Amino acid sequence: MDLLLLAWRYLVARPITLVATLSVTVGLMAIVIVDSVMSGFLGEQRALIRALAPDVTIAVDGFDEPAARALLDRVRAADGVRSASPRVEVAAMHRAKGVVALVGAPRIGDSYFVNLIGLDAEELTGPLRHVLEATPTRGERPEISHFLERSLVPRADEPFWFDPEDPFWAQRLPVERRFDDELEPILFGRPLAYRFGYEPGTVVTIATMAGKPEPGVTLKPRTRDFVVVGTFATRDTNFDVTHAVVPRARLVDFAALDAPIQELALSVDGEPAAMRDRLATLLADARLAPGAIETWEDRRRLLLGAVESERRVMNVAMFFVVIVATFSLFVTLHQMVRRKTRDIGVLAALGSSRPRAGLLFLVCGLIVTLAGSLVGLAAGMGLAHWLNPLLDLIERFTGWRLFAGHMFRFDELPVQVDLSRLLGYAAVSIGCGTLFTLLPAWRAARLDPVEALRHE
Amino acid sequence: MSDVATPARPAAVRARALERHFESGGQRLEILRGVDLDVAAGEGVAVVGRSGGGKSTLLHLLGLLDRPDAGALELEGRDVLGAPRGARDRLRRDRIGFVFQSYHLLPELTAEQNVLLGAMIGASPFDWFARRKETLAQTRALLERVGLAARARHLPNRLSGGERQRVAIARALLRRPALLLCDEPTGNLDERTSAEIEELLLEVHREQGAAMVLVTHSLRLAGRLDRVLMLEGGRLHDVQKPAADGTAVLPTLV
Repeated sequence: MDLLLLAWRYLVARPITLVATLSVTVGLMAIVIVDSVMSGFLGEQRALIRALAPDVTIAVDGFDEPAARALLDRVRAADGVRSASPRVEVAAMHRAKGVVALVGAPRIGDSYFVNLIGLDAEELTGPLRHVLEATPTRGERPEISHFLERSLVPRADEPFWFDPEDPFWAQRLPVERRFDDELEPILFGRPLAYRFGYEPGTVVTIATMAGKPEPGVTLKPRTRDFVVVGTFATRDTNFDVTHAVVPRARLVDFAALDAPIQELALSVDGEPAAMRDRLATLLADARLAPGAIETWEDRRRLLLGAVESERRVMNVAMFFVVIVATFSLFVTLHQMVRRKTRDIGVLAALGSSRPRAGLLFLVCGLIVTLAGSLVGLAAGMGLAHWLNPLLDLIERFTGWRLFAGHMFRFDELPVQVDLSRLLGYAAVSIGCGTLFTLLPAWRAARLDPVEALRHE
Repeated sequence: MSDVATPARPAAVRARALERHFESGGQRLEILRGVDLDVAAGEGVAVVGRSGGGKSTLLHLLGLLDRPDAGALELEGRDVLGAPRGARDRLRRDRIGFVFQSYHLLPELTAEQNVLLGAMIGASPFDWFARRKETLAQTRALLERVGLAARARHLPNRLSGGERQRVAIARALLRRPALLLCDEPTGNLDERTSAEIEELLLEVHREQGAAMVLVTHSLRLAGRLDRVLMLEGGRLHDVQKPAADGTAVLPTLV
């Protein structure tokens, strides 16, 4: 009881302890906010990766179409597979008449790079929409129509809809291409279309060197004209600015691909890794031997590893913040022991033991770190929770916008509070505080009571 | 052979051949060179001597704050030097009370809390709450006894020197010690306040029946105790008590 009473009285009697407590509070508060925002960003990054990748993919490069279809049927029939869809991807270049060269865009001459994704039209309106499907709001997978420019595409339920004889298209196509049924439909990512001025009806020449070369000829590009039938927007600007979507059969034909299906993209229930293993067993038992079966995490392990690496670096940085925040405790207690030396002698005269004198300052340190950490944790969580309204308020009064959400396609600063990790930081803060208290406490415990009584 | 008289009553303190030296500036300072002392329960002994002669050192040894280099020490018949440190701390807490010249109150605690602190030390929260009311009543009674009931909630910096010493006396008496050690308790006080504190000390000493060893330069106070011992050359000697008005004896020593 004496320790608690004395520790409390010592602390409240000295404003310097308030500074130490505030230092811990502010340190932990900063950590909570930084961690929550960083977690929000990392979470968004992960969600983007997650949203743009199928749960599981099965490589079927070596299969002809009937074999790939048989495999597809088998996979679709498997328990836990919500949907499965064939797809191909081809590197290509695009060019449109009248487009001015763009500085900075990857190009050769006046042609620009684009990755073409071949999907079956029915898949785009079906349950599997891995490529175009993304998350405009966290944690949701909305309908494909949300991503298509309704104003530009009259029939969002048929994204590849193109009828050169329909008046809608006739009036949008260049005069010389009106009623040209050789044109293939293509969907561009919205930012890409915006940069190049592509609109529905714009005719774009696509060139690719993918596929099997003609006998005796190497590196001869194939070209074909496509008509822009719409745009799409995922939340990943990088993806949107580098990809276009075309009907799979047309792409296979245009690029003269050996394999009509490169991979099957699956949407599954439950853990993708578990489903990957089950499918591997199932297909092996059925004597169907596809290529690699991978989850989205397997495919993006490098990027996900980078995300985790960012978090690890941040944890180290946060650890140093904790050390700096709690170091003031060492200084405060060191000073306190010096000033209370005579008290230590008096306590000894009253029957207190030497270790108890050390314990007294340890209790002081613990009270400061506990109070600082808990208040910092609560304040940080509160601020993190109200961060966006707070930023709005600051903007309203000062006109200064801290976070330009449109650069990241976020409406607001992403904040994700991970209580378990924050409690971990609080524990580290309390641990560091205690550690910094140990030396002054040890000094107090070693004081000779007689010398302490004589201390001026 | 000791030249200090042995009281007839049972000894509260019995010290034999206590020695203590300190190293200072590369020199060995022999402070105590074989101190013998017997103080009976309820007896009051004044220790006089020159400044720096080792009086406070003797009190620290008797109060178990320090250990002698040699010698034997018994408190209420128990050898205390052979006891482990924890046991010595408990003995000091339960059986010994200190009153210092500079009062040594803790400035952050009120008068009442300073007195209570003696009872709090080493008490578990369970013990403390079980005996809290009783201890609080005891504390208030002691503060009333020393005339400070009205100032119980005051911090030491709001009290005069005499009042602080009264609080210190109350603190020393809380556990009803067997041995009261007073180190120049009136040394920092004016004449009139000194007289009041002397009176109070002697009264509570008689009331509590504790043995008292009091270091003082005041011949008047020394003369009012049962015996007067002089610490000289590191040894204690019985000396004749000064007259009640403190005007005679020991002029060269004190």
